[in-house]
Amino acid sequence: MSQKNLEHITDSELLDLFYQKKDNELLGILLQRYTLLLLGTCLKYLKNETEARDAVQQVFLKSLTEIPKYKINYFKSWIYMVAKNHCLMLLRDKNITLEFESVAIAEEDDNKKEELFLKEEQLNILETAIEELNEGQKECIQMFYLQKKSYQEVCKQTGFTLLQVKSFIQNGKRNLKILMEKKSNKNHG
Amino acid sequence: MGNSKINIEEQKLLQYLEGNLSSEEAHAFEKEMAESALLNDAVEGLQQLKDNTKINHYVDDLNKQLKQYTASKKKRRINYKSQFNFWAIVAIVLIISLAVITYLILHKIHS
Repeated sequence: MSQKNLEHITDSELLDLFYQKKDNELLGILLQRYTLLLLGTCLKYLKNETEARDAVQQVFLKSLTEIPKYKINYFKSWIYMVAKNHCLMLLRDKNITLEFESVAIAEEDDNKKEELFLKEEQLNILETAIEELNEGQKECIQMFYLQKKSYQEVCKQTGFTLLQVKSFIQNGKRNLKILMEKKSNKNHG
Repeated sequence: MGNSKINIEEQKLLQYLEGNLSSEEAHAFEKEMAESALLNDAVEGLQQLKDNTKINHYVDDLNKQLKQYTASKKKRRINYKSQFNFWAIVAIVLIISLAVITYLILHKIHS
């Protein structure tokens, strides 16, 4: 298959092809899709450009040795974990402990996109569920998802920091999901 | 963008960093960020850079190194092969010229 065709296939198709052909160049194409994202992630944790670039290289090398060893199902989540763990290890070596922000974003895999916000019945449930969220979460979720405001606009209007806004949206989304599941079970059960 | 192969997703990210997306596009992008921890961390990290123009250069460098890691074995094999071909041709040419020279010498002695 030519390079051009490979640019348009999904990560998991590319991985499958690699497991069949064992050609490292295929891994190169796959990893290249993540260079920018990995660089950003390493910059976030290491806060140093040179160290971040070295770290991305290390993550590449590690991936090239690790990927052939076992079957990886969700590459995006996997490479993120490898990069983050590598950065945390480097920081640990320097005796820096990170103050972890409360933003723990649940990684959604490509294949299981959220099927929230679908049917009309669900919309009604959603409306009542939003009301049950705590103030910060409710405000941020409404502004971000319903009024389609940007992070910056939400920050400006609420007075929360960017980190707080992201955290409210994340936690609010998780709580919404739980509330909606409960409610729709009640309706159907 | 130089010769880097920046895909559409990456282009969006760079445009977002530079504030070049329309408010609708920016919002759609932020929704993606809210779904992906990797994307969220990447944006936060890249926002720390004071000079955005360096990003392409860094990505290009990293991709070039990556290419070396993934292509080295094959290249070495190709080099080895082409080296072998080179010496094979040299040997054949030498043998043929030796044969011709021997023939000419024998021919001269006879005549």
